[in-house]
Amino acid sequence: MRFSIWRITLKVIFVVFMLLIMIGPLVGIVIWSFARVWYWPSPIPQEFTLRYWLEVFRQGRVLNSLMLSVTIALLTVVFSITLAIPAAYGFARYKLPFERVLLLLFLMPQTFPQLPVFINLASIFGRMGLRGNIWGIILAHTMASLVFSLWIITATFKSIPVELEHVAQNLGASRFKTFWTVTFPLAIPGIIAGAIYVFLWSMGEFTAAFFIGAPFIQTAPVLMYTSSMGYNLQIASVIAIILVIPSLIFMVLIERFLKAEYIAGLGG
Amino acid sequence: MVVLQTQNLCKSYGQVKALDDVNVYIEDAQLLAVIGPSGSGKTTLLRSIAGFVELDSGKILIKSKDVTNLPPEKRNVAMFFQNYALWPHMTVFENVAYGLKIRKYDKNTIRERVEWALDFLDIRSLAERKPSQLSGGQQQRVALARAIVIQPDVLLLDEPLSNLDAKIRMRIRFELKALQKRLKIPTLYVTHDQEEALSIADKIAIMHNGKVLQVGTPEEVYKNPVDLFIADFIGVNSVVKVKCAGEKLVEVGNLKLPVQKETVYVVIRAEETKVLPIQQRFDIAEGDLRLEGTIIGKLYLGSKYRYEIKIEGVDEVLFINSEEVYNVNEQVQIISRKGNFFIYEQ
Repeated sequence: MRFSIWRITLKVIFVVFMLLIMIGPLVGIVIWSFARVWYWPSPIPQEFTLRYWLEVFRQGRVLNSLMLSVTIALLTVVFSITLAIPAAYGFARYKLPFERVLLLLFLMPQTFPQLPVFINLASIFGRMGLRGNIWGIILAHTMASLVFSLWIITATFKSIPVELEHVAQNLGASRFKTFWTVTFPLAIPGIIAGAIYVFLWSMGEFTAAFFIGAPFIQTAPVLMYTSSMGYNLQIASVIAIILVIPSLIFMVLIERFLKAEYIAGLGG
Repeated sequence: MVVLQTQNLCKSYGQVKALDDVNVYIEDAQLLAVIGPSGSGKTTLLRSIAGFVELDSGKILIKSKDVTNLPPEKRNVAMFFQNYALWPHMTVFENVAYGLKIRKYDKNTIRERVEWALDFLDIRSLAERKPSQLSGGQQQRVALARAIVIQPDVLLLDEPLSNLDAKIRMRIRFELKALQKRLKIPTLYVTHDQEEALSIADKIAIMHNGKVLQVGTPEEVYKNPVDLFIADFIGVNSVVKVKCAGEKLVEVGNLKLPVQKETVYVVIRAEETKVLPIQQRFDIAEGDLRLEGTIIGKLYLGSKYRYEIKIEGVDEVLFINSEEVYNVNEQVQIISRKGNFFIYEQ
C-alpha cells in the first residue's frame, strides 16, 4: 500500500510539474493582460483592468498586423508545400547523389543564428527591392521553412510502401496518374502535418519579419516585440493571446480533417 | 499457343546473378510454378515480366509481341503482390475498379465487371469496406479480384499463400487451382514451397542461383529430378553422402556403384521408405536399396514417427518417417524401392 501511495504522489507531482512548464507561462500572460498594477510578491495583480484589451481593439493596428501575419503564413504554407512535394518525392523514391548532403543543405538557414542570416538576407533583398513589402517576408519564410516541409513530407513519402505504386502501374496507370491517385492521397496526413508546422512557425517568426519587413510592415510578432520594448507588457500580452487564436483555429480545423485520413491510412 | 515467353533473360546485381540465361514459356490456360530457395531469382523473374526490373539482356514476348522495353503500365499483365498491396484509402470496390477506370471504361461496364469479379471470388458483400476492415484471407481475395478484373494476358502471382496460416492455405490451394482453370488465364506462380507447387501447377520450373535447372510436369520433376539440387529440394528427403578415395566402385548398403568423381550422393525420399526390424526377411528386387542402421533419435509427428538413423558403414545420419514403433538404439534395416531414391556424383 505504502508503495502505491508513493507512486501516486510521484505521478501527481510529475503532472503538476508538466502543467507548470506547459501552461504556466500562458497563465502568466493571461493575467498580465488584465493587470494594471502587479508587483512582487503578490501572486495576483493588485489592480485589474480591461483598458489594454479595449486599447488594442480600438487602435485596429493589432488586428491589421494579425491579418497580415495570417496572410503571410498562409501564402508561405502554399509556396513551401508546393515546392516541397516534388522535391520530397524525389528524395523519397530515387537514389539521388549526395542525398544526405542535399537534405542537410535545406537545414542551413535553421542551423545558424537567425539574426545574421536574416540581416544578410535583408540587405540582399534590399538591393532586389524586396524589402519593406510582404513578398520579401514570404520569400524568406518559404526558404527557411522548406526544411520542415521537405523533411516531414520526405518521411511521409518514404513511409508509403512502393508496392502500392507498383500495383497502380501494373494495372495500367502512368507514373503521373499513379502519383495523383495513390501516392498523394496517402501522403495527405503528412503534408498536412508539414503545413501546420510551417504555418505555426511563420506566424511566430520575428527576425526575418522584422528586418525584411521594416519599416512599413509590422507582423503580429514584430508588433508584440515593439510594444514590449516600450515597457508596455500588458499590450504585448494581449497581442500574444490574440496571436494564439488563428493558430488554434488552424490546428483544430486541420486536426478534424487529419483524423479521418489517419484512420483510413491505418490498415496497410 | 505460347502466351508468354522469356528468351535468355540475364540480370546481375553486382556480382550476384539474379537471372542467368532464363528461358521459360507459358501456354494457354497453363499454370507454371517457379520454385526455388530464397535468392534463387524467382521473384526477379516475375518482376522483370511485370516490367519492374531492367534486364541486362534477353527478350520477353507476350502473345508474340516484344514487351522487353515497355513500361509496366503498357504490358497488360496483372501482378498479385505477396503483401496484397491494397490501397488503404479506397474501398474494396474502388480498389477493384481502379484498373478499369484507368482503361477509361464507362461507368456501367466498370460496375458490371467489378461485380462479376467480386462475385467470382465471393466477396460481393465486402464491396463498400476499407481494406483495414478485412481479414487476411479477404484481403487476398480482393487483391486477386483486382488482378483478374482487367482480364490480363498473363497473371503473375508472387507467393500468394505465404501470408495465410497453414490450415487456410491448404483450402485456398484447391480454390486457387479451380479458379485458374475456370478463368483460363495463363499464370506464373512464384513460391518457395515445393509442396504447394507440386499440388497446384501444370508445369514446374526449378530455379537455383538465377538458373532454371529443370522444367517439367510435377510428376516429372518428382520422379526424374535431373540433378542433386532438385532431387533434394523437392519432396521430403534425406541425403547420404559417401566420399570415395579413388576407388572405382563404392558400396552403399547392398548396392555397388561405379564412380568417376569424388563424392556420391544418394537422395532418399523419406516418405516412401520402409523401416523394418533387422531380422525380418524382406525380398528386395534388383535395383532396390537396402541399408542397415541404428536408431539414435525419434520424434513423434502424430500419425507417424520421424527417426534419426545412423547408417552402418558410412558416416551418415538419415531422417526417415515411419508408422512403426522402434526404440532408440534398436537395429533396423531401411528399404527404398527403385525410383524412390536417386544417385548423383559430384
